[in-house]
Amino acid sequence: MSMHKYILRRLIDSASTLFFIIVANFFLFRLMPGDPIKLMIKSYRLTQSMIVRLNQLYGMDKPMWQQFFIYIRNMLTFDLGMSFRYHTPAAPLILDKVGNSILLLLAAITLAMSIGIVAGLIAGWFHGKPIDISLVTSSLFFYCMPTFWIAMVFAAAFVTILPISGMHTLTLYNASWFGRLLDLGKHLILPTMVMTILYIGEMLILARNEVSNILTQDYINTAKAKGLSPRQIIFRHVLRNASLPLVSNAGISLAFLVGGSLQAEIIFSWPGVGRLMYGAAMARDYTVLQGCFYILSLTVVIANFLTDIAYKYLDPRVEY
Amino acid sequence: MLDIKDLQVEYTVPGGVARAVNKANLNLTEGESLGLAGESGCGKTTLGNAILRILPEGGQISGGEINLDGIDLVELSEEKMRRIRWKEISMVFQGAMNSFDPTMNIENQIAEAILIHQRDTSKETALERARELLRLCGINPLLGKSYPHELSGGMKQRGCIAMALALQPKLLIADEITTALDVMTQAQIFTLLRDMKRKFNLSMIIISHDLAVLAKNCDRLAIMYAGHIVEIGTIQDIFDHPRHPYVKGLLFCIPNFAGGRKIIAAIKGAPPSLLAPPPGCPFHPRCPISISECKTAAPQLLSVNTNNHSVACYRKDYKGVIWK
Amino acid sequence: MESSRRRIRLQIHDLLNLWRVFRANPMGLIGLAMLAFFVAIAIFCPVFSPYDPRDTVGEFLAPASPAHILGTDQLGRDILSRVLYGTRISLLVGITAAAISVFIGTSIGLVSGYFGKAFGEVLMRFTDMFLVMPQLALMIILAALLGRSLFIIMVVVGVTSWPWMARIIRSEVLSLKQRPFVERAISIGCSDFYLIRKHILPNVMPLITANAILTIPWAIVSESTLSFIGLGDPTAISWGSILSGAFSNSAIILGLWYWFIPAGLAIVLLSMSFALIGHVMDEVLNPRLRKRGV
Repeated sequence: MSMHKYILRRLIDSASTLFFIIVANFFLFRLMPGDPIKLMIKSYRLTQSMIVRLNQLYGMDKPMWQQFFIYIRNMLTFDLGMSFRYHTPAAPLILDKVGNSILLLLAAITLAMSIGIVAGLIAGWFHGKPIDISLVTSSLFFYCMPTFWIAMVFAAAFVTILPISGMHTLTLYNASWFGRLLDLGKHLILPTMVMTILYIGEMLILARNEVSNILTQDYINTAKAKGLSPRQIIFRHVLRNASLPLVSNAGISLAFLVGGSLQAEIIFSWPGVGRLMYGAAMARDYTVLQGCFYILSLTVVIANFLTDIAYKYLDPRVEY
Repeated sequence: MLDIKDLQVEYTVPGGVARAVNKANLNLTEGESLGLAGESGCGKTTLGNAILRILPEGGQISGGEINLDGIDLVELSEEKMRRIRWKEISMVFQGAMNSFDPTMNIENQIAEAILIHQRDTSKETALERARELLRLCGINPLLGKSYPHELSGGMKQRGCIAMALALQPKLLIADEITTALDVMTQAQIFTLLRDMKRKFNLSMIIISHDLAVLAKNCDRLAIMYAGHIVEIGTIQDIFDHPRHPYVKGLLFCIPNFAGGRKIIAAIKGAPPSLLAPPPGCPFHPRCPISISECKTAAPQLLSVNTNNHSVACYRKDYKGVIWK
Repeated sequence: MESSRRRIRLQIHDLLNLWRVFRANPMGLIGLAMLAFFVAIAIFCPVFSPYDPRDTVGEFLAPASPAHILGTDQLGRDILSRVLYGTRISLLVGITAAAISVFIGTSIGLVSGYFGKAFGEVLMRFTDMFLVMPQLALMIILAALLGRSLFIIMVVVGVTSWPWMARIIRSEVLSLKQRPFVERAISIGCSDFYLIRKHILPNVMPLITANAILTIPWAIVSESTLSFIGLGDPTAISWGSILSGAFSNSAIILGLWYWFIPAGLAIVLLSMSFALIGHVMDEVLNPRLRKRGV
């Protein structure tokens, strides 16, 4: 299947998944016992202008099906309503923070995949030997750790050495751009380490199983017969084939990773969508909750799409 | 050109040590095509792998010599052996389905062989040569950019042959190369192989359990049983005047289309376990004419005529009917 | 009558074989031992714990001392007792939520795998949609909307983690459908229900078992996460809520390790016991699956 056709199919797929999500999001909030939107209006003291705006946005007094269409329109134009807590539009509030969350996620995935593949390679090459068993056991150990706890332990351990809160040090406000970049890096270290640990177990086990499998394949034997050294075999043939399940898994695991980043953001006060969502949950700010959920799901859909394309580039065999 | 003396290959398995090749003696002259026949598990693939020293995990050469133009391959360091692999000796494997890396296209993999051994060749030159080789083997050079899964079994096997010829080796080992293909494709592949042999003046070792294939494509034939080479000679000698009881039994199993009705005999029993082989000749438990000597010591390969026909059997001069 | 007795004997024989293979792997045994340890604590915690976990029995935020081995929290409650009692919630919610998730996931996986084409495809889309939604985010929303009780937590965790199972079951059912013995059964004219019951389900059962066990660690960790965030049952003693107290009372900055290390470690070790067992079960059951299927 050619790349173009594949991209088209995946695009249609992503669009339909997104549509499903939007629909689900709509019903999630409307059909809950005690319609939260109406509850919100009652419990928060809203000014008259806000009520009017709300009606405009949600069509509170219109029939359900009309509300649905208004809702779809809103979602597609990123009009995510008003935050009940802050009395400001929700969309800029959320979109402002998306970049921060993505930064954290990207750093963590890259690190986890790189270390995971190398460790998985070692484990797979020495299948059954002590180093393999200890690597696998450590992976299981990390897999069972709640992210927020890893974060707490790391924070406690490094509290005197590295910053454990926020994204910037306020006092460096007028420092050079390089100084600020370095500062950002310092703030990034702990949250990234925490999330990497969270994900590395899965990557390692996947890589290890795949490497064990690959080493039994005929083409590895052919490569050996051709006179390639073990190093050449690993770099030219094993790595490429072994990274395939990792890439495809990265897409699927993204939803799981977002959950992890949520926790890391809470502990480290990292100003991302996760932390915003946490505050919104505590304050029962449903608009922001709904908006965050939508943005997060959208991010995962886009990331899935991108990883699928990357996968097709790596493995020419894949069909839609 | 190739002289194998008393080669021994063992596998260390959970049950113990299995001797897959036991004191094998073979030789090959330049431009000659030798067939290596025997049933599954007789050690022919192991022998092929041992020559290239690509035995799987647990396998090792425990004795003997493999002389290629005077150099003993068994004694070579791994690094030196790597330089010999593919350049002097190359191999075409059975599983054409999987001999190519699925994530790289064909011409790149053929070019890889060239680039590994001839470092100063440019990538473009290597690719050109790869395409030329594909053309020689009957594949449209434009298909070089295809991936393995886009080609049929027969085409993949041709690709494997093209790859094996990339460095113009002295010796080509073909290990059951057409077992997984249909008869028509089989014929085409072997025609190709014969053409290449002539063109490049190759020496070949063709490993197969199909006697018909070997009869058509080889000059000489060696038959293996349970790790031992039991008979070796020209095609004519082996088919017309077999001396070893096992070989006689094998040939007796082939139905005769042309002649009259023939009762096909079966060789009762099964090959011995290689972990605990019977003492003496490996075939004696199943041999109708075995004598006491057969049980004590394994017979040596001894010449029976001037034409390099050798048999390992104490009863090689027995003239009666063995198999009914 | 005779055949059913034989069948039971065969099944016991199978189980014993299974046990023998399982026993050979040390990882599985360690997991089993750890699990037994935690179950014992869960059952006998009133005996083991020095104080009533809900009572204020000491000074607020007292450090670790012989009287309070793990100190006291912000309400003067003994932390060690609370950690011990937390085992109950984790085990209860973990297993129940996993059961719900396995039930939903298996049903959907079976149905969507077996009834392919249109119906199966739609179900698959539905599953994929769930996979795209960040589970924790969904859990937070549901918990925030539905309220705070143990039952709701169980349902919320169960309802958000079934897609993983559904996917695995579905692909296995799809591949089983291609196997010759299924085609033969269909050609004889077996009804769908019979096929599922007699052929598909037994072959899928090992996969279900291994993965069901592996779902439990996720459920335990999810429950503790929700409690930590503050969406758990306020009256329940959960390891997550202990950690939540630690966090909000600056235990990290003050280095009050006795407050947050043991509770977290308990989560990890309990989950790990299930994970080890599940991992070994997976390796044990899978080759059998291949053998039995044909």
